[in-house]
Amino acid sequence: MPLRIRDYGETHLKTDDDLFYFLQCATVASPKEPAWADRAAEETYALDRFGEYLKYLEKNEWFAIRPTAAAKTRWTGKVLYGGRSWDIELVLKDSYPQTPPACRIPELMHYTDRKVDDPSLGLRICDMHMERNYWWDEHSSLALYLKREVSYWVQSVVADMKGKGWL
Amino acid sequence: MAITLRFIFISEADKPAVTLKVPEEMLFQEAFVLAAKRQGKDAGIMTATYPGGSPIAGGTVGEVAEKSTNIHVIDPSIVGSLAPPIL
Repeated sequence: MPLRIRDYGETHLKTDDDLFYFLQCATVASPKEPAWADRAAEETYALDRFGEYLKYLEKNEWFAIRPTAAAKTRWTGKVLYGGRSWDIELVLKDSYPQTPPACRIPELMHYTDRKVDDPSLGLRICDMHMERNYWWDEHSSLALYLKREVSYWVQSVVADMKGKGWL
Repeated sequence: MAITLRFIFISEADKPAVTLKVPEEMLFQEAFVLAAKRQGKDAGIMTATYPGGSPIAGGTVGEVAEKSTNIHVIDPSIVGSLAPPIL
C-alpha cells in the first residue's frame, strides 16, 4: 500500500507514487536504437536522483547498482534489507523499455514462487503485477522498476522466509 | 572484449562440454542459460561451480573468468542418486 502524504495547501491527498515523476525518462529508445545513449543517460540520472532521495530523505539506501559496460544494458550490485544484503542482476533487453527490466536476486530465487521463466536469465523476479496495475510504461525507468517492483519483492520474500524460519 | 567459457556438464555420463565466446560485460547467468540451452537442459535446476566445487553466485562473465574459464555444471537431480542395489 503506497504511503499517503499530504500535499500542503491542497485539499486532496497525493499518493507516494505521484512524487516520483522525476524517475521517468523522456526518451523512448531501446538498446539497439541510436537514441539509446540519451535514454541511458536519463536512466543514470533517475537512478542518481532516487539514490539521493533514499539517502537524504528516507535515510535508507537499500540498493547500490552499477552498469557492467558503457552500454548500460546490464547492471549488477547489491540490495539491502533487514541488515542483510544480496547480489542483484538486471538486464535491459532489446525490447526495453516496452517491457520492464529482467531482474534476478540469485540467493533468493529458490526461496519463493514469485518468479517466472526468463529466456536470458533462466528465472527472473515475477513482474506480472506491474502489468496488471499499469505500473510500467515505456517512460518508466530502471529506478522506478526498483522502487515499484524490486523493493516490494524483496520485502515480501524476506517476510515469507522469516515466517517460515529460514532467516 | 570476448571471453571463451567452457561449460562441462560433469553430472552427465559422457561429460559433454559447451564452449561459448561471450562479451566480458555479459552477465554470467546469461551465458550459463545459453550453455544449458545448447545442451538441452533447464538452467533453472542446474548449478554452476568453479572446478573444485565453489558455487558461482553471479556477476559478469569477466568477473567469473578471472577465477576460471572452465565451469562445471551439475544437475542436482542426477548427482547423488544411487544405483539400484544388486540382489
